[in-house]
Amino acid sequence: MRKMKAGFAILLIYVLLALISPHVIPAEDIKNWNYKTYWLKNPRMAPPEWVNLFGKNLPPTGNLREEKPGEYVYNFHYDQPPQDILIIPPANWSGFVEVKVLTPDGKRVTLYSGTITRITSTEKAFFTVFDLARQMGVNDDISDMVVKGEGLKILFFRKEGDEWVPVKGKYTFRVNASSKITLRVVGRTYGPLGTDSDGRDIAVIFLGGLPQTLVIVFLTALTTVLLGTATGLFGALSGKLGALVEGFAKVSSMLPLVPAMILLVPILGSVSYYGTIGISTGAFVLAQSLLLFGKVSQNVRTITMTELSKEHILASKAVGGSELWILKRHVLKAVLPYAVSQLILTAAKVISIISILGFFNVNFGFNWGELLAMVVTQRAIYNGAWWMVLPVGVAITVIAIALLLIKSEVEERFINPWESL
Amino acid sequence: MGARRQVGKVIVKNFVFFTVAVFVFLILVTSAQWKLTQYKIQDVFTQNLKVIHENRQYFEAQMEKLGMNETEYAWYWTYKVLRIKPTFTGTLEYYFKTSLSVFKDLGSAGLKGFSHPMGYYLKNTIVILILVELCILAVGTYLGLRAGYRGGRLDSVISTMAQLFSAIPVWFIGAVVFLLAWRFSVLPDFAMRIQLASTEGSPGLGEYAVGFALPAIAMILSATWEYAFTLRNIVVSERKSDHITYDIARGLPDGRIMKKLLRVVFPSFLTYTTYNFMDVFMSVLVIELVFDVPGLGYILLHSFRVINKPPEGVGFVYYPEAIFVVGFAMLLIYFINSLLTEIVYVYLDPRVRRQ
Repeated sequence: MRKMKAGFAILLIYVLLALISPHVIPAEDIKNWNYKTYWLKNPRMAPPEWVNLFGKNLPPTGNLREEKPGEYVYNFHYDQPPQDILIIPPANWSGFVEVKVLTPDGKRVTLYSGTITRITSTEKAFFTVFDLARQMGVNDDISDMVVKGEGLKILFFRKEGDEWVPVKGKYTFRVNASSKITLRVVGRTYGPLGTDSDGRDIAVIFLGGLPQTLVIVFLTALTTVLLGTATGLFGALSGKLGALVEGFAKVSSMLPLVPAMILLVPILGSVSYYGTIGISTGAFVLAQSLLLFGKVSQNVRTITMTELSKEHILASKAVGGSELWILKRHVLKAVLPYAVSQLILTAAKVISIISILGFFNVNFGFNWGELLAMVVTQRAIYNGAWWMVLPVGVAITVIAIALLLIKSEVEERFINPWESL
Repeated sequence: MGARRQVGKVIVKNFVFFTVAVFVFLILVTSAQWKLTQYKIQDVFTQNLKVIHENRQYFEAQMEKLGMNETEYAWYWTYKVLRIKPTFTGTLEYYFKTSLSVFKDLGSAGLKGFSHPMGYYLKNTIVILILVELCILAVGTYLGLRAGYRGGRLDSVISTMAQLFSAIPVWFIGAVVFLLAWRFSVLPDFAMRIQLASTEGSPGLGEYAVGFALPAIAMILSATWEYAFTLRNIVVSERKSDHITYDIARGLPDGRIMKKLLRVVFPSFLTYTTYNFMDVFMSVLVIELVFDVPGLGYILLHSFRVINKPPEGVGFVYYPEAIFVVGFAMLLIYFINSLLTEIVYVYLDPRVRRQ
């Protein structure tokens, strides 16, 4: 009973998280998931903020607080410069903006001077970085820094001998503009789960994708087991139908799942504006169930045939018991615990399949498959972006363990009760 | 029924299922190509018609030879460019012929859309699959037999590990192995090593062994426990039988009893190995992606993708032959594996022969 309780407790946590997710994750973030400019304000490939608790000292991301009108203060005490400092104008505003900086070691430089019409980066504009270098008297390493995305090192670091060392302390930014401007430091860490190479918040797909992931997992498991049980039962009753069902189930279990699912994406899907393919959840669930039900059907058929050949069933038949009555009264008792156990096992399998399909870039909605597709297309493992891999890997493992705990208890209590004696 | 007759029946049954599965897969491959071309067929036709109409003098001779007017000739080119036929069944026939021809020149002709011949990718996958399957069988059999026969701490370790590792997705184990190897700088340049070796001829066994060490370790770590646990379960139930109790009472050495147990449980274990083979195969393809091994997994990943092409919309990259080759290879390996197991079963298990 302890196993089942532990399993259900874990499942409950996942369901609660799925229910909370629409209230925690802004709907706008999900809607704009594939709209790259929406995520410009975030750092790219940034680990979670909590890495600083484990010995790292990386700048976080956030808007600078306005201390006095037009004056912003940034307390810099990190080992690496921020990825960028963004100048964010109000919506539908364009005009002249000048940003001057007073560094802790007393240098006064102009970070940006010009007309802006939209969110403007100070690090990504070569002219700004080279002008900054000229003001700071830096001649070497500039191209290298720009290529590496460390242009702001010129502002926050000084070269001592051969090494660049950070100048820690208070940086005062003075903004001269005719409208209220926001200054945003794009750091090197972000949020609870970090970002991908487009600056997209991993927490959005992780939490926001959980509801659809759970729906797909349990719907597929349910459809697979219903289909497998029904075909297995009726296949055992009728000779010709049985042979047909067995053949169908055998071919279904032979078909290579991932290549077949890749092919079903263009067959069943439609293309969205952003160039992603969308498949309705129902179609996906049905397609996957058709590819998975074979083994369940074959096993249910075997169990049913074994039951039907038992003496008490033959006796029931002899006294005129109908096939339907025998099925309900005797066979279902043997098949149901197996079906429940398979339901749980299939759910664990489907969650793994979703991640594997994602790995082959088969993404069909806003779920964890999309996260895994990002891992592959952005080569997250090769880029050392562990934050894109570990949380989802651990989450899939934990839910699979919960399901297996429940399955193990179901088997001990209903299928093989003598084994626990 | 005699063993030979039984074997013949097994071969026919498996071959029929294999043929049907291949045909179903080919229908899927063709349907995908058919669907992907339908959305742009009219545009391609209009464009072709315009080009033919404006440059009629260049096409006149061929149109005459084929006996086609401008419209018919434009459709002829449209089907050629899109690599389909006017009807779905015609397209199916076309892919039936072209897809299987890939296997004719495995080592020479480049697979459409890929830089190497099909044989190159197939060889890499088969090497890693054999390496992994042999290691899993060897280690799994050793652990499972000992745990099932002797019990004790090894038994509880295997039971726990089997439950735990069956819950962890294989890509995750691969990613953790990769990240740890990268963190501690023990990562051999497997992909590079194989690629360099193949440019200078065929890579040797040593190069493969070193190159595929990490992917194989990840796979073995992922799959061995379940094998060992399954064998352990079969051994545990067999150990309770009278003949084993008698052997123990006679004081026979453990090694001899375990050998006997292995012989007795082998058919059951073989069945499990067959059932599990496709899962191991699929896991190998996933692991290939994690470790960047150019195998069938690589082909699968790159055989279909959607590309954003602003402002006109989207485009597709789809290589029907490539995906068919992967699916066919998987079906073929499954068929051979299943067939061999069932034939061996006929000879090993007298009950099957008697049926």
